[in-house]
Amino acid sequence: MLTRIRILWSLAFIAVVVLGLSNSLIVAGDDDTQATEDILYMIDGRILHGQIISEEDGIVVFEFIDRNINIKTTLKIRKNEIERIDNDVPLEDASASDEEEDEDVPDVTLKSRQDDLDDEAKKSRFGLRRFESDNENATRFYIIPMSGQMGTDVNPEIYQKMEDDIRAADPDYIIIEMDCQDVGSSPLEFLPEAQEENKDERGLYAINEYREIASFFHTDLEDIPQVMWIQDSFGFSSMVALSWENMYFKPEARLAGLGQLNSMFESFGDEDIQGKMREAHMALIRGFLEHGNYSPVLADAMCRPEFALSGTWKGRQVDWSLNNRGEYIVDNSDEHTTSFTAKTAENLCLSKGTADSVEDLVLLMGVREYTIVGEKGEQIFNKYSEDWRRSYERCLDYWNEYGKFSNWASGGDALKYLGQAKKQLERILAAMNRYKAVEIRFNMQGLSKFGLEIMIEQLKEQIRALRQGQRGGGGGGGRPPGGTGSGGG
Amino acid sequence: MINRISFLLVAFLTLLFASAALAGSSVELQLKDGSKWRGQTGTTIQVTFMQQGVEVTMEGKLTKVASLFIQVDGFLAGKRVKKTIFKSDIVSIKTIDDGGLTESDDEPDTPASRGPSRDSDDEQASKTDDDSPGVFLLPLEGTVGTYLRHEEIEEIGKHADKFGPGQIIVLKISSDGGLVSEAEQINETIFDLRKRHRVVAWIHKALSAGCTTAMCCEEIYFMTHGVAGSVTTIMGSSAIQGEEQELYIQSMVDLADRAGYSEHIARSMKASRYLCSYDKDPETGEVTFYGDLSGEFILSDEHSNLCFNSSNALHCGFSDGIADTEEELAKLLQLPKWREIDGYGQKIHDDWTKLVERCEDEVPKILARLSYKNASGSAQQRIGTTISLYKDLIKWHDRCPWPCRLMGVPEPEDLERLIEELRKQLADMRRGGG
Repeated sequence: MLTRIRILWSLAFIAVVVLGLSNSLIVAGDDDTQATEDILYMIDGRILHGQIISEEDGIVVFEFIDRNINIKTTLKIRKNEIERIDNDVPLEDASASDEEEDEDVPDVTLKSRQDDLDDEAKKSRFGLRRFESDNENATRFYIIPMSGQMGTDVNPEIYQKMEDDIRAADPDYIIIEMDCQDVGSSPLEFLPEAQEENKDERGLYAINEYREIASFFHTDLEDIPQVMWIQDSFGFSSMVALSWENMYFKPEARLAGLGQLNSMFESFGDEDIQGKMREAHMALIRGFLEHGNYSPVLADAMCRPEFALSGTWKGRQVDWSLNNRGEYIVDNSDEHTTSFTAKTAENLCLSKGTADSVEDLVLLMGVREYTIVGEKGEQIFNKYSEDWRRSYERCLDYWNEYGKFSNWASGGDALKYLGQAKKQLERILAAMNRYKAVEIRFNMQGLSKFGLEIMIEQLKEQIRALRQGQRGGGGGGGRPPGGTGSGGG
Repeated sequence: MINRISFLLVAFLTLLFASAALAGSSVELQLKDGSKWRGQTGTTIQVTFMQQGVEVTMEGKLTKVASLFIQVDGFLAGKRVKKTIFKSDIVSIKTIDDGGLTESDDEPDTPASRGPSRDSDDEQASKTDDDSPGVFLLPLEGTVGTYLRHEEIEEIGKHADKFGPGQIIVLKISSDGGLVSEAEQINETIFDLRKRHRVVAWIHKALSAGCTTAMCCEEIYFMTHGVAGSVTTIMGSSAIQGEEQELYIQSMVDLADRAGYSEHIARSMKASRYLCSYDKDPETGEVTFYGDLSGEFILSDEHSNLCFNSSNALHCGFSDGIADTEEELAKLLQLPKWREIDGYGQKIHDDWTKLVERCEDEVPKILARLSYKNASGSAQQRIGTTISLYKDLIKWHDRCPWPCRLMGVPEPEDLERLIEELRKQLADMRRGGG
C-alpha cells in the first residue's frame, strides 16, 4: 500500500515537473495593457487565450490568461495538441469572439457545468454541430446498442440483422454503446434476496455467440472504423468490450466482473482437467483481446483472482505483468480480480478517453461536425429486446394456463381441456422458435425445447387414446405427464 | 501572421485533398512535418504511424482516404489487416508501387492516365478467373466423432484427386474436440492426403482433438480469435493417468514429431505438469523450445495445458499466419485471390451436418417414445410399437453410429436381439389367444 502511495506521489510529482516545470501563477495586473492576444484552439476542445511567448522544438510556451479570475499562467504545450492558433486577435474582438466561440466551441474542462445544461443548451455552447439531416460534410456516426442481458438481448443474430441498415447508412464510424451489468454489480445486489430476484437477468456465458459477435464486427464490418463506448460493463460483456481497440468510457463506467469465471474453472474436476479446461476457456477469452490488440495478461488478471497486475511504462505503452513488480501496481490482491474504472482505464491507456455524451465522444475523436445516421439499429435492437421479453411474459401466462387446463382435464371434459393444455404448450414452442431468448429463459427454468416437444407429443398421445376410447364407447380421463403446471416457468 | 498563413495553407490543402478524394482520383496528404504525399487510392504504400506511442510501419494498399483517416489493406506484425490510421497519427508515407504512376507524377488523374492500369487490372482479373489456382474448402465443425469425421476428409481428398495432384485443401476447423478413436483415424487420413495435396488448417477453434486435426496439416493459419490446444485426454469425469496417460502423451509426441512440432508443445498440451517456453533469435527468427520455463517466452506453466492464441502461435512459429477472411487467407497462401474450385467440400459438410442434426433431434424423441407411445393400447399394440421404434433406432444407428452411441442407443445387433425377443412374445400371445 505504502509502495503504491509512493508510486502515485512520484507519478504525480513527475507529471507536475514535466508539464508544469515553468508554470508560474501570476496575477494579471491592472497594468495589463496588451491590445491583442493569441488564441490556441486545442485538439481536446479547449480554447486558451493569452500570449505566445516562444515556439521551438514542437513546444509552444504560452502565457495563459484566465480573465474570469484575472490569473496568468505560463504553460508549455506540445504543438501536436493544438488544432490551430489565431495570432494577434484584437482584445475587443477577442472578447467578442469569446462570446461567439463560447457558443461554438467545446470546453471540456467545464464538466460540472455541462452536467447542468440540457441538450439544447449544450448544443448552443458546444462547438460541434450535429446535423439532423444528411449533410455531406458532416462525419456520419451509426450508434449500435449492446445493452441488457448478455446472451439474450445481446446475441449475434440481432447485429447481423442490422447489417443492411448499417450498409445503407454508409457511416464513417460505428459507435457501439456497451451497457451491461450482471447481478452483483453494486454492494446491495450481492444480497441473496436481490440475487434471487435478479437471477434471470444474469449475463450468460455464451462465449461462442460472443465470438460470433466479435467476428461480425471485426470481419464483416471491418471496413467501417468502430469505437466501443462503455457506459458500464460488469460481467461477460467486459471480455466482449475488449475486442475493440478504440475504447472510450463514460465517467462512471467500469470494465469488470469477469471474476465469476473462476468458480467455473474450479469446478472442473482434477488438476489436469482444470489445466485443460481453464486454459481452453482462457484462450477463448484472450481471443477477444487479440482483436483489440490488448495484452493477453489482462484477461488472466481480470478472470483469475490469484494473479496480481502491474504495469511498467515503455514510452506511452504499458508493459503488463501478472505480478506486483511493475512500476504501477493495478491489483496486488490474490482475492479479487482486476477491474478498471474510466479513470484507471484512461490512465493506463486502455481507454482512449472519457466521454459523458455522444458530443464529448465525437469531440474526443476529433470530429467537429457530425450526424447520426441509420437510427434503425437502435430501433431493431430495442424492438427485439422488448418483443422477446413481452413474448416471454405471455409464455409464463401460457404455462400457468397449461397447468390450469391440465388440472381440469378429467371426466367428460378431459378431451377439451387436454386440447387447451396442448395449445398453451404449442404457443410456448412457437415463441421459442421465434425468439431464441425465450428458449434460453425457459432453459434457465429447466424447461428445454426438447422437453416441451415431448410434452406436446405426450398430450397428443393422450388425446388420441381418449378419442379412440370415445369411439369405442369408453371414456376416461387422464392428466398429462410432465408438469403439474404450477406456473412460474 | 505566419501561423495564419500556414493555417490557411493547411485548410486549402485539406479542401484540395477532400475534393480530390471525393472525385475518387489522386489524393494528397499533408504530413505533420509539412511534407506532402501524393498518390492514388489503390497504390501500394509503406506508412509509418504512431500507435499507443510507438512508431509502427506497415505496407499495403491504400484503400480509402477519408477526412480524418486513411485505410490500408496490408500486413501488420505478420497479420493481414485492414488498418484504419488516423491522419494525425501518420508520421510518413512512401509509395512502393503506384500501378504505373511514378511518385513524382502529379498530373491530374485523367481517364487516359488511369486507363492502362485499369485495363491491365481487368486483364489480370479475367486471367485469374481462368487460370488462377483455386482451393477446396472443407468446413470441419463440431464434435470430433459425430459431426467431424475422417470420412468427409477422405471424400474431399478423392474429389481433389480428380483435378490432379498438388491441389490446395483448406480444412476450416471449429471444434471443441471429441473422440480419441476418431481423432486417430482423422490424423492418418490427413497424413495420407498430404502425400498428394497441400493440406491447410484454418483455425477458428481447434481444441483437444480439433487441435491434433490441425497439427496434421502442412500449414496452420489462425483467425484473429482462433485458439488451438488443450489436448488432455479425459475418460469419464477425470483425466487419464498413469501408464495409459504416458501412452497418450507418447502418441502426441509422435504426432508432433511427424508433423514437425516440438515435443515440448505436444507434452504441455497433454498434461499440466509439462512446461514449455521458448527463445526466438531476434535476427534469424529461429525458435528454440524448452521443456521448462527457462525461455524468454513462456507458453505453459505447471498449472496449465498449453492452448495457443493467434499471436503467440504466430510468434513461436506454430502457425504460419493470421487471416480472418478468405481473401486474407488467399494472400497468405500466395494465391492471387480466393477462388474455390467448387462447393463440394461445403456440400458434403452440409449433408452430413444436417443428417446428424436430424439424428440428434429425432433419436432422443424415439428413446422417449419408448416409455409412452401407444401406452394406452393393448399389450400386442404396445409390443408392435416398441418393435417399430427399435427399427427406427437401427436405421439411425446405421446412418449415424457415433452420434447414436453417444446418445445411449444400443448397438444394432443388441436391438435386433431385443426385436427378436419381442416378436417371440408377440407370437406367444397370439398362440395363447392374448
